[in-house]
Amino acid sequence: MSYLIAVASLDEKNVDLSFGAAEGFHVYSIDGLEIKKIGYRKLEENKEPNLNNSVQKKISDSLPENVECSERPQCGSGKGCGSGCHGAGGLLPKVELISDCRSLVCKKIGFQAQKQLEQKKITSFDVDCSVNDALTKISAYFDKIDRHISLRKDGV
Amino acid sequence: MAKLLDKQRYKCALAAMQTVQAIDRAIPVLHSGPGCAQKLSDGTGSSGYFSPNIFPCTSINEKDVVFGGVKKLHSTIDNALKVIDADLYVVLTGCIPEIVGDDSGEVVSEFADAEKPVIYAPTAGFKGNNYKGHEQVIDAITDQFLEKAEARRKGFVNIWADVPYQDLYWLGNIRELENLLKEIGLTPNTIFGYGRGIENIKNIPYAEFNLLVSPWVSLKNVKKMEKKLGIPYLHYKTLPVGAFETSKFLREVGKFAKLDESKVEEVITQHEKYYYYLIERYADLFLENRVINKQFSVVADAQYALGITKFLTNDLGLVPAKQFIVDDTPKEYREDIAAEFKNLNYGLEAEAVFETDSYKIHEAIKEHDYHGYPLVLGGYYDKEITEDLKGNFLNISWPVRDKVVFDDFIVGYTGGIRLIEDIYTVASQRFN
Ligand code: SF4
Repeated sequence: MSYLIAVASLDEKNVDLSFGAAEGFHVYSIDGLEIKKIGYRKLEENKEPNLNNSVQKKISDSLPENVECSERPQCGSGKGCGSGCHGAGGLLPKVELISDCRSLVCKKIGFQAQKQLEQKKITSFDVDCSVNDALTKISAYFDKIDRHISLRKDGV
Repeated sequence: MAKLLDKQRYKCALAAMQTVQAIDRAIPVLHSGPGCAQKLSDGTGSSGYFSPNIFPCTSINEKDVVFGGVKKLHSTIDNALKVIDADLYVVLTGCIPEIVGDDSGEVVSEFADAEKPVIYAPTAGFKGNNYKGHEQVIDAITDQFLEKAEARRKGFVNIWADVPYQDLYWLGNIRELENLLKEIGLTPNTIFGYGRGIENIKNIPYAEFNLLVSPWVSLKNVKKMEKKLGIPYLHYKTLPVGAFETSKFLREVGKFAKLDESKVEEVITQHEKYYYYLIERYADLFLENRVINKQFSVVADAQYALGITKFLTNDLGLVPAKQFIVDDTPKEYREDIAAEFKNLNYGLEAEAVFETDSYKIHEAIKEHDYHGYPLVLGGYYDKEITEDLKGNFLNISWPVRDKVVFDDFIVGYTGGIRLIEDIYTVASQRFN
């Protein structure tokens, strides 16, 4: 049975976007070990959350680029809303956007977003590697799990 | 077919973190899931400078299963070296990294130049229990840390006994073994407990010989040391408890070390005099046959089952019923160990049963005719069944809930007396 994986990537080669920074996701369909790109899903403008207040917006804007992603307000860390979450309450629109996927791959992800995905039975992987590498490894993993075979490297 | 095991008496190999903890200022660095360390850290008496709650752990999760956990291991070791002031870092791997094939050895080898030694022992739970995990840690020390010494010191002896924390009397026992060796003129070297540590480990290669006091645990270790470090070993299978076995033990060690026989005999005589003075004083208690049970069973690992069976039979004159060995003794040692149980005084023999399933052990205890109420020395799991049978119970093996032991011991002359005190305390309470 095939399933979908959402990937946060700017150049489609590397997993180079954090969950919060992604404006949309590349979606792949996986069947066994076969990987097929099926499209790009963009977060609709009107789905962008309204900023709760301008103070948070300022905080987020004033964050230097090198702040750890998970510490940035837009990462679903529950600290506030920059560009992609409702803060501590409500379902993130991005989670809704990929709610039919089995897994999400991104560079970094905050705790709250991760928990929301978990609740939707979406496994998130925050990794630093190529898209291809990530998809190959994840599909091999799910394939073994689905076929109830051991995860041992040699497969026995 | 999958089998159910009821209340086993050991933990998985990763519980070798207790062996590491018993080495002063050594810290385990765990490459495992977070739950592993949590459930294995049940030991009482395990708080202190390093307690299980602060053991560094990679806490690997699903992502590491898919993408490998070596990076995390690298950073965990790196940071452990930075923030924890220890003398020895022992990386222990649990099931997950070993299943998915993380090359932890490779990662650890990258720390060969670190200021402090970092070594690695594969201790995945699926490979065996903590008795084997204990052996893995000592093997890791030998393989990765020790080098052959140019010259060895006469009379300098490494002592190895059973597994710290798994054995509730581990600290007291090893100290008493040291004391006994000192008395006959040897210089003991041990690596566990207060006042021992990295310096003692460094001294291992200088020993004249290794003394292994255990039916099977660590036999593999002393063989490896013989091969790599050229240290011969004396394998003394029975933990000496009480006068009979302790005197025999001292004579054998003395002979192996080529000590002056008269000196050894002098030590033995002195100890025996006091030991039998105590026994004599309580002769009325021993002769009052209402007090003590006629037959006993020990439910413990091979070391305690054998040591205590010999003690109760040879020194106290009790009759052994079935003895249960619960440490999942590897098959290759079983025949030898069972034969030791046939080698008792007064022409008596005991049947040793290698059984890890508590249900089966309890069924066997229920079935046996103890010619009265049984005396059971075992783990806390055996308390209820013994009480059902109106027997006397003493908690001497894991799990321990009935007893708090700081540094008490059962080894040697004094240890035998302590054990008698405990047994008769329990037995006399019935008549109060
Ligand atoms: S058996 Fe494996 S998974 Fe379980 S506690 Fe031990 S190392 Fe962890």
